[in-house]
Amino acid sequence: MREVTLLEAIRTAMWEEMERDPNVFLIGEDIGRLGGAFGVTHGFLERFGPDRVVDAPISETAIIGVAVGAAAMGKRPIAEMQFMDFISCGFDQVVNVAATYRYRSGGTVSLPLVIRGPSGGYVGGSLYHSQQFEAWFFHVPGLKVVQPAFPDDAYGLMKAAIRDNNPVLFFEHKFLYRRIKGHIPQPGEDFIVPLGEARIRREGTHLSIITYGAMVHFALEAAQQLETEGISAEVVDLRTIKPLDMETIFHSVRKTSKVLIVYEAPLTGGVGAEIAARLAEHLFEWLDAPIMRVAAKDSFVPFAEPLEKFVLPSVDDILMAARQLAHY
Amino acid sequence: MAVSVVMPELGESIVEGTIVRWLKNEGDPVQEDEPIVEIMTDKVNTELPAPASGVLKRILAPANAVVRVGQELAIIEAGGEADHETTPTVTEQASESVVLAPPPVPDTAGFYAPSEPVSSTAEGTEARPAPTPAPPAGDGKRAGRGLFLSPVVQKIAREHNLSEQELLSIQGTGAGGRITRADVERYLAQRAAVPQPTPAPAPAPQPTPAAAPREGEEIIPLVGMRKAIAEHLARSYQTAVHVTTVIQVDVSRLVEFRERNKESFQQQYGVRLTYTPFFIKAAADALLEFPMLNASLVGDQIIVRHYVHMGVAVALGEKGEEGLIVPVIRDAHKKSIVELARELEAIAQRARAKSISLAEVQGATFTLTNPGSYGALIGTPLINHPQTAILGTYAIVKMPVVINDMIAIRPMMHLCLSYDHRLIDGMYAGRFLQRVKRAIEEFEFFR
Repeated sequence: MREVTLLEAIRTAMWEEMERDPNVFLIGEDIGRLGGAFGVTHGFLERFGPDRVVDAPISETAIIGVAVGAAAMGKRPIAEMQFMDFISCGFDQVVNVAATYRYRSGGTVSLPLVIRGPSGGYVGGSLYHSQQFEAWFFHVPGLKVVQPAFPDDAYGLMKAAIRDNNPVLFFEHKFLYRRIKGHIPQPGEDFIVPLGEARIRREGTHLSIITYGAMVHFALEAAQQLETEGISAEVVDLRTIKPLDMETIFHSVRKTSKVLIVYEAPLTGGVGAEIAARLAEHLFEWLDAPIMRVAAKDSFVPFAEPLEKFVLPSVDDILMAARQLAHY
Repeated sequence: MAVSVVMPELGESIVEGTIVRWLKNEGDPVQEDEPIVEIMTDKVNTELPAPASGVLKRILAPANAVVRVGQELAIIEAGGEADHETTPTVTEQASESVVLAPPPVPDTAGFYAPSEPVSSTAEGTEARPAPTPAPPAGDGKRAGRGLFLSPVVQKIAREHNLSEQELLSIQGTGAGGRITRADVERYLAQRAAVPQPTPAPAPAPQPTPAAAPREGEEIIPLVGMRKAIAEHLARSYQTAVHVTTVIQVDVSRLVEFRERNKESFQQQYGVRLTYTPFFIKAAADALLEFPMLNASLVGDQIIVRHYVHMGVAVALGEKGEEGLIVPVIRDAHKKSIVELARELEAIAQRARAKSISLAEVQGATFTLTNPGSYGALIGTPLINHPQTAILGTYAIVKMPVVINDMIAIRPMMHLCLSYDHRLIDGMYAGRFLQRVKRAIEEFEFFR
């Protein structure tokens, strides 16, 4: 076992996959000589050369477009968005080209493409460096969406994403990049975390907190505090946002009958809305309380630290909602 | 044709009654609507009219029998002479049942349907059948007493055939006393631990006399109104935190006014002028300003009323030996002294004649009691649960009082307010009493 940060886990997974499969290559802004804005691809250019570590112009449309074409021709590209916020510039390539490729080709062309990059707030990144856009892609058929919260999951999910024959959007939370450390298996073990499987990070009986990304850590901190208050909270880390692992979610909710869904993106139209709807539809008779959500306010992420804290969900927000739910 | 006499639904919470006596014997002819049996319930005594003309053929529930709502009490052979066929067929009885009152409306409209188990699939909700239409009557969400049952609680109750009574007996620990899933599961675990062959709750242990009463004693079974009063007052005393505050009122003006006007009042309005309507008026007006005394504490919720349904305690029998009933004057805050006087007299008369209807004894938000009528000087009345306060008006007695540093003789009266200290603090109660006192002392006659 190796102890690494979440960032190092992602780097290690990509490195090992590039070693394993010559079809895997990287394309993105400043990923070669600079080693990436966050240093995720540090050392890749030296090891794999400029044909497999491609420094691209500042055009997300071009980056994703090239990657889509390469994938269609049998390569396994990993396209980096310097910040996931910028993916909007390549939006058409993602939702109209990449997502639809297999469908349009009558299933004859698969698209083994990974689009990855840092997302999320809590780092003073302000408006265009803090957003969580997973809900946009959650809505589109043909895409898979991932956001790991722990190094082992990041490592195993990145490998699974690279080996998957469909477009996968890999959201890396920049707040967790160097904050969260954990162990990943040795190179020879070929450890994979399958896409579409949630993980229960903490067992509990009174309520289920369903979440992903940085919010998993907030939820775990809240759960620890709740335990001292006699409230036993279960924390479900979705890991893969799409497809949703409804089996694990349902299993947890059948146990607790109370649900709190936490996500960092703005409340309205978020991933949690879909989860809430499915629970109401399929597990109505198992509910002992209203389904609750904690998410960002329907606003943009401000630069000023107090305002950023105000807009984004906090551990206190989770605590308050969880207490309300527990005492309902 | 045989017609059944059935114990009617006599009120939303009445489930049984006691036969006091039969006014007709077997074989007696009866006219439709003629009273044939007197029944005592927790709330009222009432006479049941015959559902049809004919002959009272058989009495199925003798005097002193406790009968449940819907139970058959007697059979009338309608239309003709008494025939001598003594064994009416079951089908006859069933098909010709006549219910005297509108069909029973259960306390808990829309309770879950126990006979409709939803097949619970092992895993995967996909196999769950499409939602069946809501159970009859209501949305199935709200049981009696305003209890909310969450979907999972309803599901568990259905799966374990929990009776409504059992379910309502569970102490809820959720918000507002809501029964949570954990509460039901705890209850089921306890029920499983205690072997209870009969699902029905065991009847309260009755101190049945081991033998005949001893010399100089008699034994009276606790039934009907006495039993209801006993249970009701015990519950009130155990629930509310009782505190009584007393204030003295100088009733000179009121006494003088009454003395001067009682004859003309009687002539003009046809009703006796007593003090009580003034006290009702003063209290009702004050309650609008002190609504917490006009509230009820239910679970974690305080129901505050901005209207006053004034209960007025009326003792029954010459010596009060026949119990007590509390008729209600609705919207007392809107009524004039004359209206109050008229309604009070009418309702008290009906109460004493035992012809009062259930509707007239339900829904009070506050109670007025007048122990002064039997000379009581001071006392601590018991709150009429789930109300929050009760005001006692005590005997008007001439007393020496100090006015402007001189001793004067004035007719004085104690007002004793018992209130639930959980909701009401002393100062609030005191201010209310002062408000009532001022209204009485400075009253102007208003119609």
